[in-house]
Amino acid sequence: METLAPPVVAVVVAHDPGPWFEETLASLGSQDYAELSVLVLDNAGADDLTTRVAAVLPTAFVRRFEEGRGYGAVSDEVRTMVDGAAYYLFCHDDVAPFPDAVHQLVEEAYRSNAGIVSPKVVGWDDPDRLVHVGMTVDKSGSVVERVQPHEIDHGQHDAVRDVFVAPGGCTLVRVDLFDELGGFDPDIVAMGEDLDLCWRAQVVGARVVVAPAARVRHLEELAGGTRPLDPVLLAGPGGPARHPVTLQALQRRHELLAVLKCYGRFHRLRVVPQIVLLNLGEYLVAQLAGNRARARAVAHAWRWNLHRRGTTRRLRRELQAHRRIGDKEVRELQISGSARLASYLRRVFLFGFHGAHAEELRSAEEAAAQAAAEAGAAAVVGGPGVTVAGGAPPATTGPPEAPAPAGAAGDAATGDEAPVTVERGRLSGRVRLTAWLVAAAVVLIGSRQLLTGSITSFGQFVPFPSWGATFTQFAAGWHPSGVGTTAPATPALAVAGVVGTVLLGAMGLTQKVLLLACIPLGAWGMVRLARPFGSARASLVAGIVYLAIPLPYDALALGRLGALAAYAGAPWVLGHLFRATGFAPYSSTTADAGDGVVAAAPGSGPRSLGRRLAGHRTLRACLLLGALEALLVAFVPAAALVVVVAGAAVAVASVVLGRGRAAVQALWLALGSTVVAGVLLLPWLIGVLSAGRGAVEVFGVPTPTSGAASWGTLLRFSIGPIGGSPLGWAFALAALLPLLLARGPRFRWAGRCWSIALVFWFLAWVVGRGWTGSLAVDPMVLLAPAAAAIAMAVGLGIAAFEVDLRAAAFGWRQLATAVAVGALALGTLPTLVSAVPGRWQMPQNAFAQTLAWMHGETSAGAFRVLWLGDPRSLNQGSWAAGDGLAYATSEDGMPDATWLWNGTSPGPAAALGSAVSQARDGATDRLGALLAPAGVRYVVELTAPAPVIPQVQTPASYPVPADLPPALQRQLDLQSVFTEGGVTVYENTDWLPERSAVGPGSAPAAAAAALPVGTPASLPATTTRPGQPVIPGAVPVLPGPPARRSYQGPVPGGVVLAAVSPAGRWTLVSSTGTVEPATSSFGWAAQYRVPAATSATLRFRGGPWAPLGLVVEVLLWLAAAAAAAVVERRHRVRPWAASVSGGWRHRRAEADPIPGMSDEPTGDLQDGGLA
Amino acid sequence: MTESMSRRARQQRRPLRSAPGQVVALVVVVAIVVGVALVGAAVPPPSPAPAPATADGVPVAPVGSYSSSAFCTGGAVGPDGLAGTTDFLTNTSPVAVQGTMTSEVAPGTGSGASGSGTPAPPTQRAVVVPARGQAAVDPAAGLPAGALATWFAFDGGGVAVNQVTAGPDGWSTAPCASRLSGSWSFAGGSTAGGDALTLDLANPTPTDAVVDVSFLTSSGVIVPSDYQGLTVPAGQLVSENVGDFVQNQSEVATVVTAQSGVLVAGELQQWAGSRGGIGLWLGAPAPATVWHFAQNTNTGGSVTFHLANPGTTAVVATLSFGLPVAKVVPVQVSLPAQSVATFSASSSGRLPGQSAYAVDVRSTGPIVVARSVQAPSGASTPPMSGGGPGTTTVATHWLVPAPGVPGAPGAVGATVDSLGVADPGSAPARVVVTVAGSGAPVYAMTVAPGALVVLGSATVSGLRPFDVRSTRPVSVEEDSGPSGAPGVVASTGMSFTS
Repeated sequence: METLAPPVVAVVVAHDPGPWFEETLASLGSQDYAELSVLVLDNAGADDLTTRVAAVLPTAFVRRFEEGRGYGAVSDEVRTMVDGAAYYLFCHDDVAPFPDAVHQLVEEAYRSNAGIVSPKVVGWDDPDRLVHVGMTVDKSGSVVERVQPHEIDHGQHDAVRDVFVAPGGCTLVRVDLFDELGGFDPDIVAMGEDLDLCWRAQVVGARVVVAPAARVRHLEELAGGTRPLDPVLLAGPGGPARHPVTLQALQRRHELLAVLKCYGRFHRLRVVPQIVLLNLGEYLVAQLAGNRARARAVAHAWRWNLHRRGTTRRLRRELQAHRRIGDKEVRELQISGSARLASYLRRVFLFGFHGAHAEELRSAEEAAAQAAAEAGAAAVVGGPGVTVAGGAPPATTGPPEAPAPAGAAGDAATGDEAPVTVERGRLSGRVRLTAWLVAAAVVLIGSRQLLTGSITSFGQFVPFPSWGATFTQFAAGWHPSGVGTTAPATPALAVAGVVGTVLLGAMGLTQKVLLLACIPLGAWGMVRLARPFGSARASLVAGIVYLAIPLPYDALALGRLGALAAYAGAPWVLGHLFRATGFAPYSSTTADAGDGVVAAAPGSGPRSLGRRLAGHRTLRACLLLGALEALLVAFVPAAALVVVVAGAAVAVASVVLGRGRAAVQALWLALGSTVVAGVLLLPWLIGVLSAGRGAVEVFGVPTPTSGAASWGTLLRFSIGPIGGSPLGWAFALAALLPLLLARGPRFRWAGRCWSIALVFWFLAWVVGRGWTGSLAVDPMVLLAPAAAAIAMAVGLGIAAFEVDLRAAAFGWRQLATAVAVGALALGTLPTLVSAVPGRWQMPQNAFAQTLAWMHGETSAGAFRVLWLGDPRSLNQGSWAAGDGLAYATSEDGMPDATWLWNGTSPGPAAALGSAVSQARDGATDRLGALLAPAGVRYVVELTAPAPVIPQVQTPASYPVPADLPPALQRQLDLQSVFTEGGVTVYENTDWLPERSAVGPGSAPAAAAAALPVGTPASLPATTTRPGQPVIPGAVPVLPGPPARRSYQGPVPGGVVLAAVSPAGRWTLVSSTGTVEPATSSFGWAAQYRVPAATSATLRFRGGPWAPLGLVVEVLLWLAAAAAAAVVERRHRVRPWAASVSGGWRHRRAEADPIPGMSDEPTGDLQDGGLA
Repeated sequence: MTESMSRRARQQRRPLRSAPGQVVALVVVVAIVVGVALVGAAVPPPSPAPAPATADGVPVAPVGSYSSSAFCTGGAVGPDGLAGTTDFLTNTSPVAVQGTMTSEVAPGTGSGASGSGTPAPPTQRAVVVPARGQAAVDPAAGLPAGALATWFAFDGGGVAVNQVTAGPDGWSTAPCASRLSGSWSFAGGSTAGGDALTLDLANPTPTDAVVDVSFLTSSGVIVPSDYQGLTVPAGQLVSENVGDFVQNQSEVATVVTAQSGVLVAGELQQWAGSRGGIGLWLGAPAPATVWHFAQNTNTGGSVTFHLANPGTTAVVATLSFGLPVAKVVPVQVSLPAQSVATFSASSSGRLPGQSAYAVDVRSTGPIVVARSVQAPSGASTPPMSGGGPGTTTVATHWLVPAPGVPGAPGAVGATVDSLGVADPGSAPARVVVTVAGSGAPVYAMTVAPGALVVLGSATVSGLRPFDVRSTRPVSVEEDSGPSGAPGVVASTGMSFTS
């Protein structure tokens, strides 16, 4: 009987379907729609489906493809096979439409004049559970379900409505529309073809509706992850990817593809940058959370789309040719904002940071475990014994939020590995989030003026030069410190430049980020350091305590960049060292069967595997810690000392605790990483070592011993104005708690932490008193690891309370815990109170403001400023001048960060320090004449890092040696020109411009020519009266801004003097040719004879070493990164099976049990009485 | 049921025992913390090094110095009743030292000045002091009459400068300062009975100095408003007649305190009438608690010590007398705040006549001590003078310049009469005296603790500068003639800083 119903062809794409397939076919066969034909496309399955189809649905057509293709590509074949159909019903092989589904779909298609109609998709086994009722997207293509997971169908979604996406399990598509769109995108192998098709349909003006009256059951074998994708489909042009392409990655790349393809130019320009930023943030957060699968998915999406940008461009053009609807209208069906971001924030609020990632991590871990198990099975097949090398069987390592297994507490008391990782002290994500939000709020409130305003330029917080100048200075090969040096610049400038690049060249913001990020970085490192103990409370408390310790805020108040860097890095350094010991809980808790399988190649046994793993692990740890150490050393060279001492402290403490063998690993790691750091910083290191015995000054310049911090001050971490109250003792007292309560690993780690703290406290105490001679390290730098160790000990106390006291009878220990907690609460008060003003007592006014007039004095010629004072007062790197006095130079006024990291050796500038010493000794009253050859016009004596302004700001006071002020005052050629609280400026009446010329034939010229060559200290004798320039008649030439390597301008005939070093590397290029320095004047400076007036350029001739050094440095970093990558790959040959880390505890590569390292035995301090 | 659960709970909760390791660890940690604290308390960090004592302001710059200076104030360019001044340069270094001499007359003083306050242009000359030799220069050449200041800038160290002012009323000698200071103090001045006291403030630096000047007299403290915030311009000399504000005071102590800048101050005292004489004094850079007068002689005239306490609290000064063979009970003098006092040694009856003695003054607070000597009536000129402030320094190496050089005495017939070396310490000092420059030995001796040795004219006569080295810190003083009595023209030695 002929009907008027439009013919519909059900296109079922099948690939090795399971037993459900017959039900799928049966459901199609039972449709009450007469004009329905069924076409089964067998997508290269292992078994031919013809028989199975014929058995259930004899009328169906079957076509088999011998070569597997994606869902879209196979579906598109229908266009070449079917003629005369009005609708295609694209079905997966795991759907089962209800008998009236096709009828309802077609009816709704006519009723709504829709191009695409989607049914209500319900659960396969539970039809009352909703799976899809259409979907929508946000502007970035992120698909959003309209139903909640496991939502029960009460008819609440039974209205027909427009949707953005018809889910792909079963979709009715009008044939003419399908043809106009060119079918599915054949490059979409799975996940996202529905979004792509529906979006394009809407662009060409078709409606996409959902018809809830039509119901379809869907097993979702593929999307649910039950059925793996054919790897052949996922292989790129270069073969299989290093990491498997996950469903998530497919979804992400196809979402991005849809965005790039379907938006018009305007919206593309508007939306894509937003997606870039969102993806960048998502990538970073995922990496931080250890969710590498997500991070890889984001990266893969961009990589894949960029790779096929040509195809996308063509498809976009084709689509635009058919466009009937503007993007504005299309977007009306999208939801506003970022669905993914909103969802993530909601999860963070509900479950906390790590909880928000827990589910994905758990899924990934399960997948990895499954993969590992499969591989293990394969290995067993490969030969006997080989699986043993993989170590222990997989242990349960749920994410932090995972509930502790029943009985774990008891196990924790007796085992050595288990107890420390068991989930104890569980806090809800909301509690933790609230705690961290409060802590962040305190830090933000305390820093609000720093965040909203500019950072005061004082101490080491001097501004960076421009973005370009920062990089240039790093690569220049010449540094202006002192009177100039060719010592390689510190990579800190390069780091600042890189950060500045990320921040689009905003160097002020760069400085702010570098300074203020240290606080959260440190706290984060502390949390990670404590996390392996498995107590959320302990981790939280350790992090909060580390935040509450006044050290970083004192560093801000005193302008100590190095101390901030050390604070940020200390927990991370300790983390590496702790893991190196292999002691629980820093040893493995999860054996990696996959590793065992792969490492156990034929012919190798467990022993060789262990050695290889240990070697890989050690090398990798060295590389990682070495890179971290290099980064720290770039900013604070004393970090190298900190790492080595910390390693030694861990080792010694472990030896004392009877675990010496493995603990030596920490010392070896510290030494090895220091070697790695030295290699990474090789050019700079060579410059440092060239200073000979003076190289030790790279760690710091001695400060007056009279101002040494007392032992009590050090124990309270209150070097600066914050935290000086007796409440500061609270942290040290609370840190004693684990020594009283803890058992087993917690006790031993508490002992190690106390050892570290005591060692660094003692070192700071000894250094402060000058007992280490010229080895002077900022005590605040040394206090950073002590603070980390104390915070860790406090956290261990909490963990001990939770685990070791859990079943104990009430007694003094509980009281002690209460006292410790109370003490901690009190101990945070000073920091809390200090947060109120909003700038951590950082001065508001700087010498940069009061001395800004200096920059306007260059009309008389370029000049240098000699800064004298306590090293802590100076704004730049300095050299020792004895008795805690330091000296440094700058050009044309206040220094910027260019001068922050001096060459270790002052070179000829040592004459400046020598001259000051002579003045103090009464050996001269013509200091100005001694300083004049270096172009020193101003001598600045600082007694504070910032101006002392009564009732406005009272910065720290750092007096100069008592003999300096009178010595400067009595100099006959130093005129006091400016005095304010904390600073006195003298002008040198004998000064000589930094670049000057003396005319020919004049007496002054003869005087200049006669300037002797000698040691830097042998400056010229002068017969001039005080107040007259040492070379009268010298005129300034070759103007230009400071710290440049080239100066140009007219010069008169005669002698040109340039107070730059090394003289031999500066040439004067005039119209008549290059003038080499004829002789060196004053023993070190350059002197050029110019026969007649001309235009000339004074230029630094760098030679090949500077660029070569730069290249070497870059290559070294690249080599280190490559080596780390190679080691990582060898260590984890099946990385996707082990890439589901969620922190140290989950990182198998870092926590694998190495034979002989995980030796924390069940000690005598285990819970003997608790079991 | 409930009871059963409770019993089970009690069974589960067991008392914890302290493990041995815990106790040990706790004890070790506490012991280390307390131990370091105890060590810290026992060995506190050193106190900040105090500012070096300003000493006498006349130390000789080290020989290897890059440059050194000498500042001579209090002199005058005659005539008009003012004395003329000559400067003597003694080079202790083995190389000739070049330098420049800048002389300036204070505006408004002397006949050559306009009185408008416009300073006469300074004169500048090159000077060369031969190796281990001496030179005499006339700083007044080319300058109008008036108060004179001279400063020398040497291209090296080892040069000491002293000056001699001589006129119809007598002569006097004083060392020239080698250091500048922000404060200067004097004692023993007089404006009574026609005595004239001139305060010279010279600022050789390029920075203006602003000073406050006050006077302590037996009538109380005088703080002239004109002398508060007094500006001493850079490179200029300001000369003030103290008598303009401090009239008819027999005891005048002058206190100069700089609000800003540093300078050098000197006084020229002219006694009128029968006392007649000139006193040329370099101020003391700072009050001190110890003062030394190495050589005094009870001549039958009077030896008077002038004590001034510029501080705000009362002090007690103890004068100890050192004789070669005898002991004298010390004398205590109470000095209220901002007061002056005198002690006449010659009239105390404690000291034997015609014998030399050393005096050390130790006080409970910083004071200034000077000495004046008046010859018995009928003595030759000059009958009256004051040595100015004593020395606060004891050292092991002294230069004692002469009041002139051979062929160019500072005054007619000037010669060294005696050289006294006192040992204020508690152990004997071995002292060797040589002629500075040539190194010719003069005398070697041992000075007993608390005693002095005086080398008489038979040993130290002439115009030779002496180099005095000792094994222990001593104080040195030289007495020159001709004068009315020993001590009338005296000067302290100049210590070497290294």
